[in-house]
Amino acid sequence: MAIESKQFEIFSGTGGVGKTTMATSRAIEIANSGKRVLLITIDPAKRLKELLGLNDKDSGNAVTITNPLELGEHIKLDALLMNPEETIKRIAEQTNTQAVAQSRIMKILAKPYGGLNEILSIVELQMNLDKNIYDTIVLDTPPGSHFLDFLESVDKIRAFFDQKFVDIFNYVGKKSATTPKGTGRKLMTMVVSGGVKKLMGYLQKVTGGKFVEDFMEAVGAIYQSKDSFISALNLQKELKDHNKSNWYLVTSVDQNKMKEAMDLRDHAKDLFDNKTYIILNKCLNEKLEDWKPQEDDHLAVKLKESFSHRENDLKTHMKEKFQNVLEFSEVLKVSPLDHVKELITQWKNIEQKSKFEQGS
Amino acid sequence: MTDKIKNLYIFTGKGGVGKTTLSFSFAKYLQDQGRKVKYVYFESSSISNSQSPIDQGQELGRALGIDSIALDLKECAQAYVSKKLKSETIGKWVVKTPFFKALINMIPGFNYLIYLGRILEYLNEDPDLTLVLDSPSSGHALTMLEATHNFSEIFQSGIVFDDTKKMIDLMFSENFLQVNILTIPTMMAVHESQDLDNSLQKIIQINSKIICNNTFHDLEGIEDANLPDFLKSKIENELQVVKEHSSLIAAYVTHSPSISKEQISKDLAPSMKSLV
Repeated sequence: MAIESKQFEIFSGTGGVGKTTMATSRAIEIANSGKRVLLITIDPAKRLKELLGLNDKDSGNAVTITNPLELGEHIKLDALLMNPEETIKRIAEQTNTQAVAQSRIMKILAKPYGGLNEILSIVELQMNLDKNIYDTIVLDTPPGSHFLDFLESVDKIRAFFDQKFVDIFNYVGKKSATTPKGTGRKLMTMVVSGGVKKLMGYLQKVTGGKFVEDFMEAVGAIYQSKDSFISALNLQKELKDHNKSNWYLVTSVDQNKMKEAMDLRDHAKDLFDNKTYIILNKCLNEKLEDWKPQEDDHLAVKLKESFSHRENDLKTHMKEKFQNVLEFSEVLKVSPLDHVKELITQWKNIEQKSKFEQGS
Repeated sequence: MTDKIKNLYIFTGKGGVGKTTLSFSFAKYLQDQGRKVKYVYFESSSISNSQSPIDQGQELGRALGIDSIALDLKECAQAYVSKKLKSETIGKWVVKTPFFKALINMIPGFNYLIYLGRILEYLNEDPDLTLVLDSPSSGHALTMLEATHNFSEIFQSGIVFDDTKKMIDLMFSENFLQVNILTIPTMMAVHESQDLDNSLQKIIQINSKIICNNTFHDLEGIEDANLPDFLKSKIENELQVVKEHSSLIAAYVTHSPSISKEQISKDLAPSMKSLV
C-alpha cells in the first residue's frame, strides 16, 4: 500500500542514513504516477548529482531530468541543487535591484560554502512554489542538527526583517532606497532602544571603518530585496499543515543513531507529531533471520548477535515512539541507479508498521 | 609526513561515518599515551532562546574518562566581544541585543569563526593540550575552514581582521592542525571524501588524511567464518574499494562487533595510532 503524496514531501534525518537516496526515489515514484515533481537538495554532499547525472553548471537552477534512471519519457521530474549565488541572483531579479548581488560582503557569503544554504533554501522553495507548475516538491534537508538551522531559518528571517530594524537601518545606513517611515524623536528612540547606534560604534572600534561601511551597504541591499525573503515566511504554516505536507524522519539500522533521531524529534516537536513518518532504512529483516551460524563459529555468532541487537533495538524503540514506521530493506546493489530503482519498488509496496497495528 | 602529535585534530566526513565514536577513540588513545587531551564539539550553530542543546556524547566522554568541552555560541561570542572592548558588561549587552543575535544567526559562517577563535584560545593558553574536534559533517566543515579566509576578506582592517590573520597563521602553521576525513568502505562514500579533501586543499594546503572506518574484510578470523550472502557481498565491495583506492586511504579502522558505544570506542582506541 503506497503512501499518498502531498504538495510538500520533506525528508530529514541523521546523516549518512540514505536520506538523499530516499528522497530521490520518492520523487521519482511520485513522478511515475503522472505528477510533475521538483526535487530540491540542500545537502551539501550533492549526491543527487551522481544519481541523476547532473552537471556542476546546473547547480542553482531547476533542471528537467530527461528519462530519469531510464524509467520512461513520461516522467516529469525537475531537480535543483541549492547554490546560494544563483538564488541571490534570482532575488535581485525578482526585487528589481542589483544591490544585493553586487554587495561585496554578500558576494563572499554567497560562495558555495559561505554558509547561507539553509536560509536561502526556504526562499528558493517559495520561489519555486510561486511558479505554480509543480504538483509536489520533494525537499532533501541538511543532515542532523543542520536540519534545525533549516527549520529555524524562517524565524531567523523574521527576526532580521523586523520592521524596527528596517526603520533603524534606513536611518543609520542612509543608503537604502526607501525613505524612513518615522522621523525625528520617535526614530531616535528606536535607534537608542534597539541599541543599533551604540552597537555600530562598538563595531567600528573592533572591525574598522571600512567594514562598517560595507556592512551597512550589505544590510541596506538585503533590505531592498526584503520582499523575496518575507514572502518565504508564509511557508512555515503550509509546511506544518498535514493536508499539504508529509514529513519523513530517516534513520538507519546500521548506525547507533537512535538518540540523535530522538533529539531531532524533540527539538522540532511541533513538526514531528504522530503524523510524521519514521523511516528505518537498511533493515536486514529476513537476511538476519535466515542466517544460522554454527555454534563454534565464534566470530559469526558474535556478528549475528550484534547485527540483530542493533536492528531489533531500533525497531522496538521506534515503534513505541512513532505511529507510522516504514521499514526499508537493505539494498545490496552496487550501482547507485539500481539502488534507487529498488527503493522505488519498495516505496510502491511499503506498509506502515506501528505498535498500534500490531496490538490490534 | 611526521608523526608528531598535533595541537588540533578535526574529525569530519559525511554523516554516519563514525565521527563521534572515532573522535572519542582517538582522544582515548592519546590520553592512554599520556597526552593531555580534550574532546570538543559545538553545542549549536545559532543563538537560540529555547532549545536544549543536542548532546553529542558527553555521556560517552564521562564513561570513557575523557574531558569534553561543549562550545556554546553565545558564551564564545560574549567572551570575545568582552575581551576586545575590555568590558564584560558591554560584551554581555552587545550579545544580548536582538540585532546582534539576528546578525549572527543570518551569517552562519560567522559562528564558525567565533568557535574557531575560542578553540585557538584554549590551545594558546595551554601548549601541552591537544583538542579533538568532533566537527560538523562535510559541507559545514568546509564553511568552518573557509571562514577565516572569508572573513579576513570581509573585514580588511581593524582588530577582528588582525585576529583573523593571527588565526590563519596559527591554524596553518606546521604541525598544528590535522583534518581526519572519515569515510566508510563504499565507492560512493570514498569518492565523496576525496571531493571533500580536494575542496579542503583548494582553501589552503591542509594536512589531511582519509580514514576508512568500519571495515569487515580485515576483521580477525573473517576468512574462516561462515558468513551470509549480504556480508559476503559487503566484503567483496570493500575489497574492490581497497583495490582501487589504496593510495588514497591513509588508514583503515576495523569494525567492532561490540554493542555499546563505550565498548566500541574502547575496542578501537589501540588502532588509532595510524590516525595521528
